[in-house]
Parts: sequence; C-alpha cells; structure tokens
Amino acid sequence: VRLGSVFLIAVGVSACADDIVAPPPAEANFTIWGSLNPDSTAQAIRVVPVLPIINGERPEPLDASVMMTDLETGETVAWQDSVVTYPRGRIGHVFHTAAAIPYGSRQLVRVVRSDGAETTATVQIPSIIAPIVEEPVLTSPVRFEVDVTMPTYWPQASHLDILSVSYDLVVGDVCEHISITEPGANRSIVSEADGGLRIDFSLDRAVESGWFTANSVNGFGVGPKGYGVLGITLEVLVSGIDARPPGGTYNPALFFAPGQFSNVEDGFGLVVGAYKQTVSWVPDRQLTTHAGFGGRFGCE
Amino acid sequence: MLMGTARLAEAQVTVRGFVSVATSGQTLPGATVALEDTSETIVRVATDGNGLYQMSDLTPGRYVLRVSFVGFQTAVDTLALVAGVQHHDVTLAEATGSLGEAVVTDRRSAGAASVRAGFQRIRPNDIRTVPSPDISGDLATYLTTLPGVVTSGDQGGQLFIRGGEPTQNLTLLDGIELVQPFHLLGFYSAFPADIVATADFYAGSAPARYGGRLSSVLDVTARTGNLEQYEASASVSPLLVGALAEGPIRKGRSSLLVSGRRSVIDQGAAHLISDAPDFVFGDALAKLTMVPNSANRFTLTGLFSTDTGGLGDSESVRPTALRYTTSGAGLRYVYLPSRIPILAEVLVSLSETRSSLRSIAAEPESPERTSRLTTSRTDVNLTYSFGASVLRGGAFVHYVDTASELGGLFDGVPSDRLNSVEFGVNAEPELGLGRGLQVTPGLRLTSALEQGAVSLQPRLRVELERGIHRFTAAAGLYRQPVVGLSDRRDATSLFTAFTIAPRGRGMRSRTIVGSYGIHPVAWFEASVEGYATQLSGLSVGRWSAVPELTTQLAQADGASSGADIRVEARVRSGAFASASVGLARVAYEATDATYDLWYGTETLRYHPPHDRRLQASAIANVPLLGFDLAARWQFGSGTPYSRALGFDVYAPTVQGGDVYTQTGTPRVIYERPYTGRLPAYHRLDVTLQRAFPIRGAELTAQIGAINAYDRRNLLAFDVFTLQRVNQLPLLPTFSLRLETP
Repeated sequence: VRLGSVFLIAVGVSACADDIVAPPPAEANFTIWGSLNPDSTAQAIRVVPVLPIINGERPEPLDASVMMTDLETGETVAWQDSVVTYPRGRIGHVFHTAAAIPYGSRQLVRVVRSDGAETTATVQIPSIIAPIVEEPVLTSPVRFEVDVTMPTYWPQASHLDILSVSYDLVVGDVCEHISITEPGANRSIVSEADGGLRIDFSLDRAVESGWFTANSVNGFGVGPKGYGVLGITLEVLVSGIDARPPGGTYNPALFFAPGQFSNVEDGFGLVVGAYKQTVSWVPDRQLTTHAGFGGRFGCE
Repeated sequence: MLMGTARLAEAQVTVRGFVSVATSGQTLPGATVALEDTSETIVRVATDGNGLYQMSDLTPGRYVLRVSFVGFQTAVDTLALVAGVQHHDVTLAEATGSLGEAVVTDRRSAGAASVRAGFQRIRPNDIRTVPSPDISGDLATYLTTLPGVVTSGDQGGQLFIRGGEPTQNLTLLDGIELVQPFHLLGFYSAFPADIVATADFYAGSAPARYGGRLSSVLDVTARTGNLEQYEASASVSPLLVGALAEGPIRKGRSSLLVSGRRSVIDQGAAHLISDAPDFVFGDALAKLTMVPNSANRFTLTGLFSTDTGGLGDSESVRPTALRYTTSGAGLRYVYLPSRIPILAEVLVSLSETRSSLRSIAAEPESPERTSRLTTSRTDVNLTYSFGASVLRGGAFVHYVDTASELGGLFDGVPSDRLNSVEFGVNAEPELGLGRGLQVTPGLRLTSALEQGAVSLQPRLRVELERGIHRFTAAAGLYRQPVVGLSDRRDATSLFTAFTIAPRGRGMRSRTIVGSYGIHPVAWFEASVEGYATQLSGLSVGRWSAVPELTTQLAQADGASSGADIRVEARVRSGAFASASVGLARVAYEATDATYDLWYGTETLRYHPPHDRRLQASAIANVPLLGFDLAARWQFGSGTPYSRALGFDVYAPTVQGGDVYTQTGTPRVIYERPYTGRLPAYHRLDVTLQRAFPIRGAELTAQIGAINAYDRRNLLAFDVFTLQRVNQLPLLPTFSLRLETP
C-alpha cells in the first residue's frame, strides 16, 4: 500500500509539473582553440563560451580574462579580447597578446570568468629542432622498379605535420629554373625513431600521384620527365606533444565529439605549441631519374 | 484448379452477397450474417471489407438467413438453396430510436474494448463518441484515445504505435498507401468520420496480406457515395470548415462522394485564444463507385491532404515552417465469378508525400530540408470460402522512390535519392475449427530487388470464443524496406526524411500479442492485452555532435512491451463510457564505432522519444435534457529527450590552422542521449450538442471547451534554442453542422 501511495504521489507530482527540467550545467566553461608560436611574439587563441543555446556568441566583450603563465619562470601575461567576423556573419572572440614564448617551455593558459569559473590548458612548447637529412634509401618492392625514399631525422620531436613540399626544378625544354609547391604531405610517412621522429619522403610516389602532370606551372612541361630536380624543401609544423592525436591519426569526424583530443581542463578544445621549420636538400640526379624525373639537360 | 473448384462448388451450395444500407446502397463491412436451419445456427460469418458475405459447403435445402448490424434492423430472409453458387444481396433498414436501443448482437466486433490481439475495427459511430471541436468527428481523434498509441499531443500529426516510429505505420485508404495522412492539428486527419466506412486497425499484429511496415496497419475503407439519393452536409467550427456531397450518377448503379475540409484557425480560433497555432491544413476526397451488376464493383478513390505550419514565432532564434502534402489515387475492382466461390480483388494505386522544413528567420538562401516518397502499388487478392473457413491469398508489386535534400542549419546540403521494388505473394487460411476456435496461419513471401534476398514472414492468429470469454493471440515477423528519419534530437521534431534501408539491412520485427476479453452482460465489456516486440536492423539517424539532420544511418535493435486494460459500457439510455490504461516500455540499442569514443562503448542503449510509460484515457457520453454531453480526458507520461548541456564551436588549429581564418562548426554538447524526460501531458475536452430539425434538414449545434482546465502541455522543445512551443490552451468552441435531406 505504501509503495502504491508513493507511486501515485510520484505520478501526481510529475503530472502537475509542466516545466521542462533544466539539464545540469555543463562541466565546461569555455572551449579554447589555438597555437602558441615560439617563433613569433604575436600569440592568439580563440575563446568560445559554452552557452545554453546555439549560435549564442555576441560581439560584446566576453566575460572572460585570459592569462598565460610560464610554468618555468612564473611570468604571467594578460591577453586582450578582439572580435573576428567570419564568413556568413559568424563572429568569434580571439584573444591576443604580444609575448615571446621560449622554445621547450610549458605554458599555462587560463580563461577566467568574472564568477571565478575557469578553463585551463597546459601547453608544451616544442624545443628548437635541427632536422638531419639522412641518406636516401632505395628499395625494390617489385622487380625492375625502385622506390626512392628521402628520410629526414628530427631529434626530440613530439609531433610533426608536413605542410608542403617545394621543388626547385629546371624545365628541360627552355632551361628555366622554377619553384613549385605541393601542399600537404600525402606521400610522406612520419614515424618514431631514436627519441625523435623521422619523415620518409617518397619521391617516386610523388611522381606516381600525377600531381606534377596536373599542376604544370606557367605552361611548362607535361610531366615529371620534363623536369630536372635541383632541390627539395619540406615545410613542417613542429608541435608539442599535445598535438599528437589519440591513435596517431588525425580524424576530424571522430574528434568532433566534445572532449576528444583535448588538453583543456574544465572545458573543451585544444591549445598546442607549434612553429614552422623547413628542411632542404639537393637530391642526387640519378635518384630523381629513378623516381621518374628527367635527367641532366643540355643547358645545365 | 479452378475447374476442379467449380465442380466441387456445383456439388454443394455456396451462398454469398453484399450487405448494404437500404437507403443509400452503402455496403456494410463487419455485419453479422447467420444461416439457420429449423433448429440451430449452421454457420455465422461477418461481411468483409467490401460488405460481402460468403458461406460454402452447405447442403441444399431451406434456411433462414439472419443479417444484423449495429444501428440497423435485423433482416430475416428464407432461402431455398440449391446446388451451386447463389448470390443473395441483403439490404438493412436503419433502426429508429437511440443508439442504445439499436445495439444488437454484433457489439463485440467493434468498440473501444473489442480488441482482439491488437486488432480493432473502428466504425464512424465509435469515432463520434469522442468529443471533438468539430461535430463530424475524425478518425485521428479516436486513435489518440487508444492505449499504445502515442502522439505528441493535439499538434504534431504523428502517431507512435506500440513502440514503433510513425514511419513504421502502414496507412491505407481503399488500398492507397498514405504516408502522412495526419494533420498538424492532432484532432484531424485526412479521414473525417463522414467518409469512413470502416477502419481496421492492427497494432503490431497485422495478417499476412499486409506488409512493408513493422509497427501497425490502419486500413481505412472510404464510404461509397449514396447510390439511391442525393445528400449533403456542411459544418463549421473555430478550427475547420467542411462540406460533403454525395449522390447517384445512375441510381443504384453508380455514385460519387466528394468531401473537402479546410482549416480556419486564422479566422476562428485566433480570435478566441492569443497563441493559436499557425497552421493551415485541408483535405479533399472523391470516390466514384460503379456497380454495373452483382458480379463487378469498381471504385476510384482520390485524396489530397496538405499541411503548412510554423513552430515557434518569428522572433525566436530558430523558427521553422513545415509543409507536407499527401496525394494519392487508386482503383479497386472486385469481381465475383458466377460459378466458383471466389472473390477477386485488384488494387492499383499511386501516391506521393512531399515534405519540407525551412527556417523562417534565416537568410533567404538558407537551405531547406525537403523529402519525397512516391509509392506505386499493385495488389491482386483472392478469397476462397470453404465451409466455415476462408482462404485468402494474393500477389503484389510495390515500387517506392525516395528523394531528400537535407540542408542542415550549418552544413552543406546532402542529397539522397533511392528506390526499391518489392514483390511477393501471401496466403492465409482462416480455419474455423469449431467450438469457437479459429486459427489463421499466414505466410508472406517478399523480395526486394535492391535487397537481393527473399524474406519469409510467417504470421499466426488464434481466436477462441467461449460464452462470455474471448481469447486471442497473434504473432508475426515483419520487414520494412523504407526508412523514415527524423531528427529526434529536437524533442518532438516533426520533419521526416525518407530513404531506403541499406542492402542487407532491412528492418525487421517479431511481435507477439495476446488478449483476453470478457462480455459478462450486454452493456459492459472489458479486455486486457499484452504485447512484446523485438526490433532489429533498425536504421536510426547516426548520433553526432553536429547540429544537423542527415541520412547517415546507424544500426539499432530495439524492444517494446506493454499491457493495456480497456473497459466500455453502453446503456439503453444512450449513455456511453469507456476507459483505458496502457503501460509501455521501449528501448533501443544503437551500434556505431564512433560511440566508443564518446561513451566508452560501441553500443548505446537508450529509450527513444516515444517511450511513453503510462497512458490513460476516459470518455463519457451522457444524454442530458435533450442534449448530448461528452467528455474526454487523456493522460500521457513524459517522453524522453536528449538534453543539450551547452553549445560551442569546433575550430581546431592543428595542422597549421589559424584562429583568424578558421570559422569553425557549431557543436552540441549532449548529455548521454535521451536522459531527459519532458513533462507529462493531460487534457480534458468537453462538448455539449443538440440536433434541431429544420425543414427536412437537421441542424446540429455544439459548444465545447478543448483543454478545459487550461493545462500548459508541451508541443515542441528545441534543445538548440531552448524554445518551447505549447499545445492548445483552453479553447472554447462553437460548431454547427447542417445535414440534408
């Protein structure tokens, strides 16, 4: 009888209430995105307040103060709010500061609301790295076919993203020197090696991809055979350990879920330390011809 | 085989014929036809959906044929039967006096408590017992009083039946498949009571002649127009105006019935309440009937239904305008060969549903969600009678074409166009085994071209009637190739996109239903029913933090179970009361690799948004001082919804991104799916009406109150904007209906 009474009271109470019970507040105050660059004194991060409705960001100053503390020296820098208008009228709050960030340091970024709620991210700034160009490797996975891999070793590196590959070329027909840049790093493999990372750049795969044929510059050439390779430059984003995605592969579809691939406490997002580094070398002409480029031209 | 059948028929007697109303020629499905000799009843059958009765394996001789139907005088004929097939049509005269006096022997074939393992036959008089803001009544109003039928309230246009989704219901009108026949205002559908002859409603227990849907079947037969005389009626209420006209084209041989209704909320209800829904809807039906002779019947039915409505006012952050139209046309041909006891039926139909959802406040170029489902059906059905048993069989080809353009609020416009051809056969003998036992095993064999495999769907129905007791049970396997997707992350979302289930992933369900009914006295009936359904291969929208609707699917299995109790009382004074209570539970398990990252498991268990645990309704009709007083109270416990803890923007700067140029994508931070519960729903509707004779016509006036105690019931809740839209507040109504002759 008592259980029945409790049930009836519960039904009665729930039947009378007509308000929607508010969900518990999110255990996240802000979402922060950005990169701290030790190569620059201009730093910027985007601060997104976690709001109860969608598209709730307004251009008014955000109720947030942003500070960055060097965890080695204790030095703290305050950041300033600015409003950025993106395409389709969307706005965002980008906090910025002029501060030099030491290579290899650890920085604590704090976003604090006026009521004291805060979101933090501890960011590992990568050390200065001098990449080492290693001897090319020739393999023959199939008879009469040679793969040309040009490795570079990046000691103490935690995470590398290859931003682009630039080729200094000589165009055989007219003997003109040109430079073309292929964005991305589809034909390079990054792997762990001796306390650092190694980039294996595959020149023959670059040729096989058809990119050269599709991207003949200034009307020159019709494919790799029309070019002689004078130099290769990799542009690499050297990042701290925070930029290394779980599972080793960056998957935007998976990491879209809040809380995935994050170094932020009491909030969401990802703040990394990163700077750009380049490494160049002059490949052996015999190797480039193995990969499918032209040989030495008469004008050279 | 037919020759053999003919020889067999010649050796014995088969008597058959149509039962119809004397004054209109309207056939009467469900009428009781009993053949008696001098001492006892030899055989008792009910007329089928065409109003046809058939009795076979009789011996030649003299018999008494007794035909009865609720509201009509019993017809008694003496037949001298000789060997062969004999055709004997019967007409029934309408009974005079109150409904209570007219109740005769056939009460148990219809009524709120006359449920038989999920099956219920609904008649216009059942519909009219439920108070409605419009005098004529509507099938939708009646359906929402049934336990196990979950709606979003007085607005929404969607029915969730025993754990199924709205798109898992098969709705047929004279064989035409109608996907969204229910209007946005929940009192109304494309089936006003005035056009309904019968509505056969199977909640999870459909026989083998139905397929393609997992959850339920609503098979509506539209009334044929009056074959004998011209009639017309018109009605007006604060929500709706309607008119109906019917009459013979060639007396006794052909007729036309035309019906049309249109909402008048702007001109009516908007003057009575401050926040009247911004809905415009209407429907039109035409039915041409031709009866050239007793062996052939043709009907041509056409229907159009449209709804346009806005949820939320134009000042809100994300107001939306929903529009959907359903149209269809179909031919039904019934043929009775003169020498063999077979009924042949051919149904050919084409129907289409188009729906669109648009954000009102957004910039004009904002993408619109659109969806279309076109269905073409051809069915050939044969019914063969032998003794107290009937063998039904048929073959069909159904073609479905779907297309959708799903412009999300923030992303691009994914589009999808798919089609499916399904064909098959079905057979189901209704075996009368004597002593009140009837067993109906059934088998449906289908194959969808794009699915590749053949699907066997066995069905079984057992009915046992012993005195005042009735036991029924049904079980079956069901399969559905068409998937309806709704963004259920929006609580009470109304837009549905249609697509075809991926190859090898058709949706399936296994259902078992059992019921017990008792009819201890003539004026009272009660029933209790339990059911359990296992759903597998469900295609549900893939859960993600992206605030948009897509046709990306995730696999889900599910289970629903529940129990209903119904009671009904009709007394001779004309008073009527019914009540029902339904308990239910629905649970889904969705599997997707991405869930592992979010929830730590690839399998996500949740209660979907139609998991209404408790539902109750009570209806009373009382004659009072020359008036009819009617009241309906309904209760539904709160349904689950997914709560958004917050919103942010996904704008990572890994791989060289820049915070100044990277716009980012809005993102929802959900709690675990469907952990919230919306408030309970309840409402009382009251009407008082009286009919006045005016110069050979009849004028009926009605006053009433919808939501009489002004409950603030929720209609829609947008978790993205926290925008709440309520159902109708207290709405006083005044309605008139004029009927001639």
